[in-house]
Amino acid sequence: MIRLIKMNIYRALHSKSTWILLIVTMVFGLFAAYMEKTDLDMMKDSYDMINDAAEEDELSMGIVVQTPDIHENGTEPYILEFVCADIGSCILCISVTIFAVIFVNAEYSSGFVKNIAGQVKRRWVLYASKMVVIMIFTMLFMIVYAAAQIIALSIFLENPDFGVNMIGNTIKYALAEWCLYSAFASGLVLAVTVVNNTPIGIIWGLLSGMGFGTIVGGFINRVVDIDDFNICEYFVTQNIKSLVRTGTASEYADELILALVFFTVYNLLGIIWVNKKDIKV
Amino acid sequence: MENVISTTLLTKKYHDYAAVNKVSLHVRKGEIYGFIGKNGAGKTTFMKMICGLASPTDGEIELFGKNGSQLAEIRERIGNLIEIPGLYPGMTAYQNLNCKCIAMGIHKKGYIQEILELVGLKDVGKKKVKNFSLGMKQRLGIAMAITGEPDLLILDEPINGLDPQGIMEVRETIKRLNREKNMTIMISSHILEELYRLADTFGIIDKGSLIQEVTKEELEEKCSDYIKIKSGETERVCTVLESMDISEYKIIDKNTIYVYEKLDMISVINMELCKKECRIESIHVVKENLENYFINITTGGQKND
Repeated sequence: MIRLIKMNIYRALHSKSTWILLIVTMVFGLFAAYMEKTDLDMMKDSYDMINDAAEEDELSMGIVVQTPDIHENGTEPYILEFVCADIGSCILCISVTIFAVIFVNAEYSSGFVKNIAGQVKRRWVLYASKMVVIMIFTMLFMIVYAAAQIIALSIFLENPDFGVNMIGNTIKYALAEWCLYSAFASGLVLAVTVVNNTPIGIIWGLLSGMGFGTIVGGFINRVVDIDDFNICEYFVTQNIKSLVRTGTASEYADELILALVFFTVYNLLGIIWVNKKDIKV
Repeated sequence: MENVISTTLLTKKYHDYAAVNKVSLHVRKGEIYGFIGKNGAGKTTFMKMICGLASPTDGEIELFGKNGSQLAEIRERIGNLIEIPGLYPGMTAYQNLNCKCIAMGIHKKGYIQEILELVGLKDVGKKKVKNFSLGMKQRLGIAMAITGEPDLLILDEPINGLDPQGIMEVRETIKRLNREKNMTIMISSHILEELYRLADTFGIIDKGSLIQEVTKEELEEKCSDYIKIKSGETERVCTVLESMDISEYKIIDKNTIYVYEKLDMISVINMELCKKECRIESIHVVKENLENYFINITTGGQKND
C-alpha cells in the first residue's frame, strides 16, 4: 500500500495536469480575493441589503465567492475570516473534480494498470492508494488556494489584519472542510471508476459541486413530504457550503460524522467494484 | 519437470459466449511456450486470467504449484505485456519504469538504465512516450514486463510493430532471459515462423479451445514437406507406391494422396505411375510450413492449394 501511494504521488507530481491545476487554483484564489474585496466595498456602501440577500439563500446552488460580514464594530473582517468563508464556497470542488477524474482515469486510459494490477496481493489497495493521494492533493489545493488569497488580500485590503488569534479555529475549520471535500472526492472516484469516462466524470463532479443535487433533493422532498425534513441537508456539497468557522462543537461533530459515513460508503462500494470487475483497458 | 503454469478446464464466459473454453494447458519451468491462435481465439483472455487481470468463470489455475487464495502472492513473480503496452504518454521511458520500480519496491541504482539498455532504449533521454514510435513503445512495454526480474514472463504479441531488426533484438533478448535467468516465458504471436524459432512447446488455440499442445520436435515432424499426388485412381496409385517400397503416405481424400518419403525421387515416382498407366492430374512437392499446418489444424483439415 505504501509503495503504491509513493508511486501515485510520483505520478501526480510528474503529471502536467497537476501543476496546471495548482496554478489554476492559485488563480481562483486571487480571483476570489478580488471578488471578496469588491463585495466588501459594496457592503460598506449598503450593509443591510447584502446581509438580507445572504440570509435568504440557505440552500444554495452554483459556485459563488463567499465574503464574511463586516464586524459589528465596523472593522473589516480578518484575512483568515475571508479565507474560511471562501473555502466553503465549493470553488475548490472544481480543482478537486478535475484532478480526481484525470488522476483516476489516467491509470486505466493509458493501460498502465496492467503493469501493476496483477502484482498486488489485494486489488483494493490500487483503489485505496489513489484515494489517499487524492486526499493529500485536496489538502494541497486548499493550502494553495488559501495562500493565494492571503497574499492577495494583504495587498487588496486597506487595513489588512491577518487574525493571528484565529489560527487554531481556522485549522480546525479547514480540517473539517477537508474531511467533507474528501467525502466529495470519494463519491467522484467511485463514479469515475464505475463509468470509466473522463468527460462524464468531470461534468458529474462540476454539477455536484455547483449543487445541482439540490434539484434532485427538491424533487425527493416533494415526494417524501415529511415535515422539517430536507434531504438536501445531508448532501456533502451542501454541508461544505453550510459549515461555518464559528459553528458549535455539535455542528462540527455532525459534519464530521456525515463526512465519515459518505467517505466510508463510497470507498467500500468502490473497493467492492474494483475487486469484482476484470481490469478492462 | 515442475509446471510453472497449469490450468484445468479453465473457462471464461462473457454472458453466453465462451472466450476461453475448458483449456487445460501446462507450461514447464524454464521453457518458452508459444501460444498460437487467430484473432479472437482466446489467447489474450487466457493470458489475462493467468496474470490476474481477469477472473475465470470456471476451472482452475495453478502457478508455481500454488492455487486458490495463494495465487495473489505468487503473481508478484509474473511480468506481463498484454495487448498494447500500458504506458503514461506524458512521461518519459525512465519515469514510466520508475513508477513500476516504486510500486515493486526496487531502489537499485542504475537498474532502470540497465533495463533500458537491454531493450535498446538507452538513448531516448527525455523524450516523452507519446512521441515514441510503435516499436519503441513495444520495447518499453517489454522493459516494463521484465522489471523486477520475474520468474514467469507473459508476452502477448510482443513483436507487433517491430521492424526486422527489432524483431531479431527482441528474439535475442527473450532467448537470453530464458537462458541466463532461467525465466519461463509464455509468448503469443501471429508471426508463426518467428514463434517457431523461439518456442520449445506450442499451444494452438482456436475459438476458445486448446486444439493441440505439441513440442517443437513433434511440430517438426508434422510440418515436414511432402509430395502431393492428385489422381482419380487413388487405389492404383497406392499399389504403385507400395511396389516402390514407399509406405509413408496418407490418403487425404478420394483424389489426393500425400507422400512423406523419397521426396527427391519425385520424377521417378512420376515415371513409375505413368508406366503403370495411372491417370495423374498433378504431382508436386509441397513445402509445409507452420502457417499451413496451423491453418489446416484450425480449419479442420481444409487445405489451401
